[in-house]
Amino acid sequence: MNAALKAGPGTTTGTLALEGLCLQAGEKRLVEDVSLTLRRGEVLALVGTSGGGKSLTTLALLGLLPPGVRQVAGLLRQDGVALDAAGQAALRGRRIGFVQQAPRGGFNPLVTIGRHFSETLACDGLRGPAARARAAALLQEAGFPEPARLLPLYPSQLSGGMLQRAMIALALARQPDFLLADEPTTDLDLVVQAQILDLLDGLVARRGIGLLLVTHDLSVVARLARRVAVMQAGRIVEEQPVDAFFAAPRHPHSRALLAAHFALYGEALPA
Amino acid sequence: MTPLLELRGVHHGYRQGGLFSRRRQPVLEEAGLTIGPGECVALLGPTGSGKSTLGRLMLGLEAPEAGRILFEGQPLRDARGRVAPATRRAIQAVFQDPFGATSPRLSAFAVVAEPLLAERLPAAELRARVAGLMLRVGLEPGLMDRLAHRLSGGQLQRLCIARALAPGPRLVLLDEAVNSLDLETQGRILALLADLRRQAGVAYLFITHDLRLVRGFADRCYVMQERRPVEVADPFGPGPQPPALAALRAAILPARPRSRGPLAHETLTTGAAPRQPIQQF
Repeated sequence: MNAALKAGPGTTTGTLALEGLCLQAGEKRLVEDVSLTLRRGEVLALVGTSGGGKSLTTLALLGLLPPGVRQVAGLLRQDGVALDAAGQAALRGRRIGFVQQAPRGGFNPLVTIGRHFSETLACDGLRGPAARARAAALLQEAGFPEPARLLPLYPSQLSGGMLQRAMIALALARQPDFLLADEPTTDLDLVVQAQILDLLDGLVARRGIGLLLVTHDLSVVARLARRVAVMQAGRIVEEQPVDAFFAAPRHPHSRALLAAHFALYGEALPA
Repeated sequence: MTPLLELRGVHHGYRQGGLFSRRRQPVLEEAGLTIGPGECVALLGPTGSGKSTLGRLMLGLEAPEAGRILFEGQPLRDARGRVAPATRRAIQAVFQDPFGATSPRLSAFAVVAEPLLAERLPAAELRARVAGLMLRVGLEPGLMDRLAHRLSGGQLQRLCIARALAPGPRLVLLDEAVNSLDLETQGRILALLADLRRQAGVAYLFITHDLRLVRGFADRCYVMQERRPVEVADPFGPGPQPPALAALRAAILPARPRSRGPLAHETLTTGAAPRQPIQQF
């Protein structure tokens, strides 16, 4: 286990901070001076309309920017220490797990669920029966009562909700300190969504994982998050604890998002 | 009055297991449903409950194993399994994923013009028709010559609605048509659909798993319970509900956060002075 687990919160240990991120494609600024701090054991929600730069910010944290998008400024600090490019690359998979929106796109359709795990666990030198036992334990933690039966199956044999659980289990394989989840429940029905959110909530509580939850659905934010950052047109326009955000949003964009959210519940935005 | 669309005692299923398996999984049993002219009917249910199968049958894409599907009192498919061209134009659909429902090679113009090609309009008139349809769904006709997949998700879904409206339908199937859009766009598309219904008198079958979207949008509501739609008078009201509806209601997340007390890093301070967070709040 790493040092961050032993250190208490309140110090700079167990934090991952992004400072002044700027991204551009050609001459066009896509993300402008974005700073975020993730803490272990805490859920930070990044919300906003689509096209606002939420997903690009997440991909920049992972060093997985799509071709044509350049990072022109920005620094990543782990526990207060600035990371160079190599240090940043070493985070992905090891310290930061990633759960993406469409679970079907995250798996190789030609390879069994078990192979996906054995490939990932081999990075830590875990092979054979030890790797299988570990994969089964991870899948069990993700809510599969009989995980061994899952390992020989192909992704096409699983439902969307099952695949999303499997993806979370896979993201946990190397015991990351942080999990980035980009719209983890958007493609799932509400019943399955509630189960996946319970699972993520449990992981944050049990493992002390720091979760960055990217979503446009404010009911997901209400269920899971402790802090909310609102993004619009590539900038963070507001950041607040979740209770304050729902009670007194400050930015016009936040108010518009909340108005759309409350309308779904047949309520008007409280004045 | 003859209903616009009626399903009576419909049974349908799919083959399960491998290519050579003969086991059939029943999806619909004794399914019945009616949609009146200009009516908006919601069909609720979780994934795998048979909602979309019912939609496919309603479009005439598949023939049911048993039972009758009537459009304006006449069988939807004739004895040879064909849907009459006029009926085919009268029933249109908008699906969940607009990118999957349009060809990446087509321009926005070509997407909307496709159902109109059979009318063999002169080029200028066709462009004018497409421009008119785009305006009706709130799209700038100047976007016409862009590749459809260059549009945003919300814009492309509007384009799919314009395409569905092009042949002047009487009934539009909305199969999770707003579920992949963000909240604000969702609200705008629902408002657009409600407006179009008032203007054009078109009826909707609104398929969704999200009970919240039904409020203020649908006239009547069915929920899938044991492989058939069951009508519910007031999906939000008290009183007895089918278990499937109770499950959907229970899955709705609270509108506001439960209070969880102060943040962890604010209560637990250790010896070291906390580093100043970048964003002040």
